[in-house]
Parts: sequence; C-alpha cells; structure tokens
Amino acid sequence: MKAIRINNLTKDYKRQNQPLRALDHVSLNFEFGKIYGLLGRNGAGKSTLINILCNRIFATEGTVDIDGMSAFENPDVHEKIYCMSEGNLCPDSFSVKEVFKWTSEFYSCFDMEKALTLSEMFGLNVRQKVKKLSTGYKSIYKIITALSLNVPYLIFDEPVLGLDANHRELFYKLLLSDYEKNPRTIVIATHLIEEVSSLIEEIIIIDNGRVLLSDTAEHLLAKGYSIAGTPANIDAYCKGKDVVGYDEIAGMKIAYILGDVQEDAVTPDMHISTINLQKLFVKLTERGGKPL
Amino acid sequence: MKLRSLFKYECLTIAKPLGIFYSILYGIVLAGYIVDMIVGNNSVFRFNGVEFSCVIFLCICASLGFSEDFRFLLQNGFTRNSIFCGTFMLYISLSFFMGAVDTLIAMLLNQLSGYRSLFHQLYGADHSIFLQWLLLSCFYFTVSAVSYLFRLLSDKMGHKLFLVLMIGLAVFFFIFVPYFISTVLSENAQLKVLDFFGFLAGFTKSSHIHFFNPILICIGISCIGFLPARFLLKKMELKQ
Repeated sequence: MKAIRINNLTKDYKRQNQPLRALDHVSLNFEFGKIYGLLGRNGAGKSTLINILCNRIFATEGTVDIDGMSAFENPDVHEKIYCMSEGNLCPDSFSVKEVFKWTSEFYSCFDMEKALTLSEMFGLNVRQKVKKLSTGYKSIYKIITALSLNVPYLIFDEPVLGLDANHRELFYKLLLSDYEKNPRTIVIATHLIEEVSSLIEEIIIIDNGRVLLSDTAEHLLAKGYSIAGTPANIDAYCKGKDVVGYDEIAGMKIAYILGDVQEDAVTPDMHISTINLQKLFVKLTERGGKPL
Repeated sequence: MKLRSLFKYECLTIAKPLGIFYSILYGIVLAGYIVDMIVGNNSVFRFNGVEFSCVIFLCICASLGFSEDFRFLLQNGFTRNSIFCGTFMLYISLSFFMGAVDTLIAMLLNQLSGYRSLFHQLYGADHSIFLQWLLLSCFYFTVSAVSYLFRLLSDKMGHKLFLVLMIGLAVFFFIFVPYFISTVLSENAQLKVLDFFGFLAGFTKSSHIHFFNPILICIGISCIGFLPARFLLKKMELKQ
C-alpha cells in the first residue's frame, strides 16, 4: 500500500549529559494523496520526526517505511520523498539557479521550467547567491525547489517562515493548484495553524514527543465548540463536560468543549460557535499533552 | 543511485577552488622567474617543494568542504554510503590530477631552471615520469584520506577534544618519539630505526630503490584513513 508508515519511533538525545526524549514511541501513517498538517509547539518533535523520515538523523527505536521500503539509508526511496527544511542546507556560495541546476541533476522529476516560472511569480532573482537572500526569499527558493519536484511525498517544514502575506497566499494557491493537477502526499509542519486550516485534510498534533491527536480536520472541528457567557453560567454549563480550556475577556467567560452541545443547558445569554483549529491546538497543548 | 551526478557535483564544485589555487601557486612561481630574468644571474630567487602547498590545499578541501557537501547531499536524498563513495572517487581523481599537473610542471621547471621536485630530492632525477606521477598521486591520496578522517573525528568528538588529541599526537610524534630515539636507544638501535624508515621510503642497502614500499605504505595509510572514516560517516547525523 502506498503510504509512509511510522512505527514506534523514538529519538533520544543527550543535552549536557542529561537524556532528552524528543520523540516517544510515535506511530503514524501518512497515506498517499492527502494533505496533512503536522502541528506542534516549539520543541514538540515535528522537525525531529521530519528529519528521521528524510534519513537526516537516526531513530533510537522504531521504523519508517515508504511504500513498503525502509527509509533508512535506502537509495531506492531517493525519488519518493523530498523535504523542504526550515534551515538552509545548500552551500551559501551557490546562486538560486545553481541550486535548481543541481536539484535537476539529482532528481529526474525536477521541472526546471516550472522552477523558473515560479521564481518569476515570486519575484525571485535566480542569479542571486543564497547567502544574500532575505529570510523570506530563502524560504521562497526552497518552496519553489520543492514544488518543482514531482515526488510522491513532499514535506514542508515551516514553509512560510519570513514570507509576507501576499507570498503566503501565492504559496497556498500554488500548492492547492499543484495538488489538484497531481495528487500526492503533502505534509506541512507549521505554526500558522489558522492559515493552513483550510488546506489540510488531516491533522496531526505532536506535543512533548508524543502524538496528541490524529484526525481529519472536518471531524476534529466537529468534535467541539466554544460557548461564551457569564462566568457563573458557563461554570454551571461546563460541569461534567470535557472542557479543553477557558478564556476570560471583559467579564465574559469562554469555554472550549469537546463533545455535543447540551441544548437544554444553554441559557439565552450564552453564545455558541465553532471551535477554531488554532484555539483547539492552543488549549490542547496548554493542558500538558493529555491526548484526546 | 545517482553516483555519476554525485561525482559530477563533487568535481565541479572543487574545480573553481583548484583553479584559483593553481593560478596563485604557479603565478607566484612565474612572477619569481620573471623577476629572476630581469635581475639576472646574481638573483637569489629559489624555491622548492611546491608539493607541500598542494598538501595544504588538500587538507583544507577535506576539512572545509565536508559540512556543506554533507548537508546538501543529505538534503537531496543521498545515502551516507553514496556520499562516501562520491568523496572517495573525488579524492582518487583529485590526487591523480594534481599528481599529473605537479609532475609535468616540475619536469618543465627542471628543464628551464633546475627546479627539483620532492621526488627528485628524495630519489634523484633518473626515474620514469610515470613513477614520479604515481608516487606523488599516492602521497596526495594519503593526505586526503587522513584529512578526511580527521575532519570526521573532529565532528564526532567535538572541536575542543579533537584539538587536544591533535596536540597530544603532535607532541608524541614530533617531540617524544625523536627524544626517545636519540636519548634512550643505543646507537645501533638508532641506526636500525633509520634503516627501517629508509626501507619504508624504498631505500635498500644496495643502491636499488624499491618504489613498491612507499606506494604500499601510502595505500596502507589511506586504508587506515578511509575505513574508519566510512564507519564514522555511516553514524553521522545532520546537526539541527
């Protein structure tokens, strides 16, 4: 079956002679042809997971298979997966065009014409050296390289770092249009949750090295709601319910609840609305990683 | 795996620094000769051992080029095994190429001005150009292998600990060992040690030179460099 299968993945580090567990027995599947959002706080383990998938670092325990083949030191998975990293892994002395040139040399599925067209759309000067690019344009040349590769599994690790709103919109538009023409697995690891919430089909939340949640976006957002009202009424309503978190604004209390609305307990001064993904994420990760 | 592309990448990225290096090196030599010609026969311009500049260049290439190449190649999905094979092929090609360039230019300079290459100084002038090229290439390859190993060790151990190790090794080999040989060993033993090193360099008690010995030593040291380097590279992770 076409998928990335992650089984019981664990990664331990030593920091100043203290052990640190970055991933703790993570098991996941990334199925072919879907867009995944990989969400997590800083230091949650997203980049560690991605780096293990792409054979950049090694797992302490566990396995990763891509289309049934081990991803560990396996040249046969070379043209199956590509990761656009947050950090810069290209030689600083290279120009953008040289990066494209070498990528086309290493991957038979790289579309140089598409890369140059996308560069024009983003206003990227391909003769510019990578080290001279701003933070935003560094992200842009990496995005363009990734989008110009026709690999079955494409991973973006913080793709919109430093991008202005216009470029972010353009990136999302191009990503969706590319996905429609050529369905494949796309994994987006990002902090800008609300921006990607309309793109992603499946959500995986990682917290403290563990999978907190893995569900479809639709199902997850339907799982909960927010209810606002006076503190006393909200406290009364919330008794016995699975409350993810609270906010208090200008004397009003908002509760974020998982489950169905209890219609008979709702008073006229209460206001119910859908829970947004970012709020759900913040509240879930605030409460110390308790899985749903 | 796209080893050909990898090898092409390794070669083309070293071509520019190599070109700059040779331009500077032989530019200085040429400038020296021009000054010599202008000044006339009483000038004091002399030089020798250009090969050691090449050794320094190879050491710098092995240490500075490694991190960038490793990250870029990992980014593009190459396995560590492929990266090692590409690096190995690069160093063989580079050693052969630089050996050829230096041997030919040394011959030319010898004709023009009596320049004596490292090979000439050790073994004399009456040997085939092929042998000169082969020995020099093996020497360059050995330097590359050892530099590569040192680079990987430095990454593995951390720079501070590696520096301590290098200082320790330098003190041991350049101070302690000569001191030990000259003060502790008897005169007879000292002669035997010298004979042994002479034998390694190919010199025998008869006037015949066994070039096989230094070539074998170079290959042996290269294996000692590359085999553990391969092991270290297999365990190397991208630093986040």
